[in-house]
Amino acid sequence: MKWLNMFITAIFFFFLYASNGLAQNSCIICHKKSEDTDLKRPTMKLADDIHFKNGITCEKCHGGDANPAFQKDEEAAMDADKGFIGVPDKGDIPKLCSRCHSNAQYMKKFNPNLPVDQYQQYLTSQHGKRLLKGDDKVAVCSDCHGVHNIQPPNVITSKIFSVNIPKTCSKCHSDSVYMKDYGIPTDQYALYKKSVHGINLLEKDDRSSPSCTSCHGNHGAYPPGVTSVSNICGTCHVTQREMFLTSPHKEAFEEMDLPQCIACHGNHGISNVKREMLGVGENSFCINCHDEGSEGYLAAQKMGAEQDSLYKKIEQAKLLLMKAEKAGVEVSEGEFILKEAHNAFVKTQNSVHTFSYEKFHQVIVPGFKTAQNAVQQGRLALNEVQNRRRWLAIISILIFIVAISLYFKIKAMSKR
Amino acid sequence: MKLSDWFFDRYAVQSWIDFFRKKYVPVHKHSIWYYTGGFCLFLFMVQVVTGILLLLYYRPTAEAAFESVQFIMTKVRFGWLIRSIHSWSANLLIGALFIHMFAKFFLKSYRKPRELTWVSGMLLFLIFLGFGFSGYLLPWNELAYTATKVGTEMTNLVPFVGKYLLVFLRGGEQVSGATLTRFFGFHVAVLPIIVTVILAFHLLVIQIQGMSVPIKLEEHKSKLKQLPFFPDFMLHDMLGWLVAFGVLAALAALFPWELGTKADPFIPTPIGIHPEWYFVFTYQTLKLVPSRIFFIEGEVLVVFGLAVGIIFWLLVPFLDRKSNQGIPAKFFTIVGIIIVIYIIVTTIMGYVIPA
Amino acid sequence: MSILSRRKFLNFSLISSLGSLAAVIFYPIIRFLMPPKTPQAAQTEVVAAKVGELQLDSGKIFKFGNEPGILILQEDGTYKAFTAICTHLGCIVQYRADLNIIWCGCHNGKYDLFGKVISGPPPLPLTEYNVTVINDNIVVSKKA
Repeated sequence: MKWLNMFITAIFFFFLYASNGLAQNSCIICHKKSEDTDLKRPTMKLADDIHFKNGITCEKCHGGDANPAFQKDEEAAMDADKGFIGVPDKGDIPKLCSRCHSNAQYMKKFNPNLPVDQYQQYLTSQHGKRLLKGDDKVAVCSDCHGVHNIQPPNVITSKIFSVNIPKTCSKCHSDSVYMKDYGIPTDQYALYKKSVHGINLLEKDDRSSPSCTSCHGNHGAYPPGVTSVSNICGTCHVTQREMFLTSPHKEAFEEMDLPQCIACHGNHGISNVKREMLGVGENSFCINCHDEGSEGYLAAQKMGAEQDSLYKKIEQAKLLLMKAEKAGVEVSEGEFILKEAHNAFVKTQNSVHTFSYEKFHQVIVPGFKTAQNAVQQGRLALNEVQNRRRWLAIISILIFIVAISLYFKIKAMSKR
Repeated sequence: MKLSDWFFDRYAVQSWIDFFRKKYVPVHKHSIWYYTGGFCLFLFMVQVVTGILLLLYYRPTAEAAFESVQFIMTKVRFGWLIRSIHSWSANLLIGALFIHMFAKFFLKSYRKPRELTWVSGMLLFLIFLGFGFSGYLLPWNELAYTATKVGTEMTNLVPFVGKYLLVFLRGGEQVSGATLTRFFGFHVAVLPIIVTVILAFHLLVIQIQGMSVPIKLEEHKSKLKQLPFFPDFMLHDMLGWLVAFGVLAALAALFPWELGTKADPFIPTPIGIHPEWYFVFTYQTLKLVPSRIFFIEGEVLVVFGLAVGIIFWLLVPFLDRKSNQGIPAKFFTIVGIIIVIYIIVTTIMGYVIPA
Repeated sequence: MSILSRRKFLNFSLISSLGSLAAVIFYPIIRFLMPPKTPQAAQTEVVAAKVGELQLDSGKIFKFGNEPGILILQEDGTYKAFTAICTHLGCIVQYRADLNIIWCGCHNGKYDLFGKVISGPPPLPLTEYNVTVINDNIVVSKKA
């Protein structure tokens, strides 16, 4: 019995040893021991790597033989006859990755939802096109995804996690020395960080806010053409796009080669809309094209003036209600109406995109009514404060009269 | 037959009126302090009336308390006024009580035969502090919540029974809805009953024994000018009440008592929190005393000191033998002055020194 | 003026001024005792509608404190309620029966009937309220 026990134990340990193949990879065994940091680095963060986790180990990309038996035999492990390629050329990387990632049958086993068109997409991108022309400064897969610690996009530390994407792109695109041959600006990241999109994504962690890839695409990254800008912005800003496309500006902008939304709002540094953008004031965008006295100029003038007066009306109501609330008067009715007025104001600003005074005017008229109503509520509330003062005045006078009479009464009584 | 005759015929009202008519209040340079008591009484009556009115709309649960006070302030007609008067009057009442108490202390009015008047007055003072403390929590706002948390924490320092006292006060380990209901019970039922009994005693003995005269004037008591209690003194009193009412109305109309934000047990204690002004001196003392004196915890020492102080103050008429013999006791005057200065200085420190 | 008439005048002025002072004091108290229009502190719950007021597959904006809320009667006869403030720029949302969604007209924000964002610029879902039907009233209350 004793021998049988030992035999079974031995078999058990043999299988344990054999199944522990991942650790028993000759590449990792040697590279981990190496004192050369360049040789050691690939093994350091392997544990987080999605390929490593799925059993796709070194030799699947680099070739060679990872049999642990070769851990003392470098020649045999890194034998070119066994397909060993060492560090792949940068230009070969997209092709290398696509061996698996373009193979739908193969990828299904790991993630049935993962697209397999990245390589095709890449070839249509500015990056891919330049790579084919032999420019190896462009981004290849590993530049954005990392190399030996590749993580899927839903991991917070991943380079392609939505919040991290702007940083990842900026590694090259903000480097003016690196980019100097391409003749494109390098301030996109700096602008984006301060833009309404950038603040929402990076500071408020609003992940519905767009990063670089939301507009430019990822694998097929390419600057959108002049006439397709509204298609891209319109994926989120639907109503504005609809209005713009039916507005007189659509054709006018096309003739002038103006990039639709961007012509007024800018791109990377886009900020919250400002009231001054509309109208004929100093910071107006309308007067860039519409000369004084022209029909468009007059329309812009009217729209700007009406917008500002609605804004002022709402501000006035806000102030009145705030004053009344500070004095302890109930203003919930007024605040409710104020919210409606705010609603009307946002709709009004939205309707600017029709670029038609008539349509704009139709939207703003009910807004005026609501705002006036809110002002009225504020006035009523302040009246209440006045009523309190009046009550105080009356009671003070009465107290005074009673006190005086009382005083004389006491005096009269003490005389007796 | 006149209605008054019908009434007087059956009840001995006339004898009361005669009693008050024959009762005289001595007139001298310290007479002004006779009015402090009536002043307190007036403010107390305002509290009773406004308190009962508030009771009609207030709801003593953690979910509804804040909202119901907000409701009173905004929806109920003149609710803002009633609530503001209740809050302002409460603070004026505590202030008036301090003045009344120290005035009687320095005049040595507590001496024989009025020892129990003093003791009952002191008890009333402590109960009104209890009214203030329990009433402060009822709007269930952030400030009140925190102040109550810190305030009840102090009972934990009482040796042996502190823990039980804390749980008793809070109605549980933490300040919660249970505490609110409990404080509400104290504020509108328990304390009012006790006050009614003690106040009745306090007023009764004053009426029976008449006003005390300062020790120095005791010899010339018979030569002093006299003012009939009814109606002269009462009319004088009313004059003061009218002024008090005017001040209250002005405070309530011009500076409505704020409600603050609703208490939330899960947010950290806001900075700059301090209790109601009349507790600031104890709060400040706690901060001033080092955490350890010899082998006793500083805070325990403060609580112990406070207890000794209150007992001393309560028993003053029995300790001050000199005044009882008609000799002004300098020692007690000095002690009184030190206490007044201490309270004023620490209170100012509590507001001036940042937390 | 004789002493008598002087005394009379003094008494008259004292009594009449005291009387009017009492009136000015009692007026607020009597007004206070009259229950106000909304007889309850209605901050945590509100009657959003009556049963039968809404048609199947429609919505209604109601006032919840000083904020608008939206009550929806779904096709299966159950009610849902949310805050009606769009999380994007604070517009008031509405129910779109044709799309079966809650929709914000300002920037085409779309929410499903769980309040979750389907598409458009809103960054956050709408807060949902509890709905209970008590007798004839549809009562909406804030979730604890």
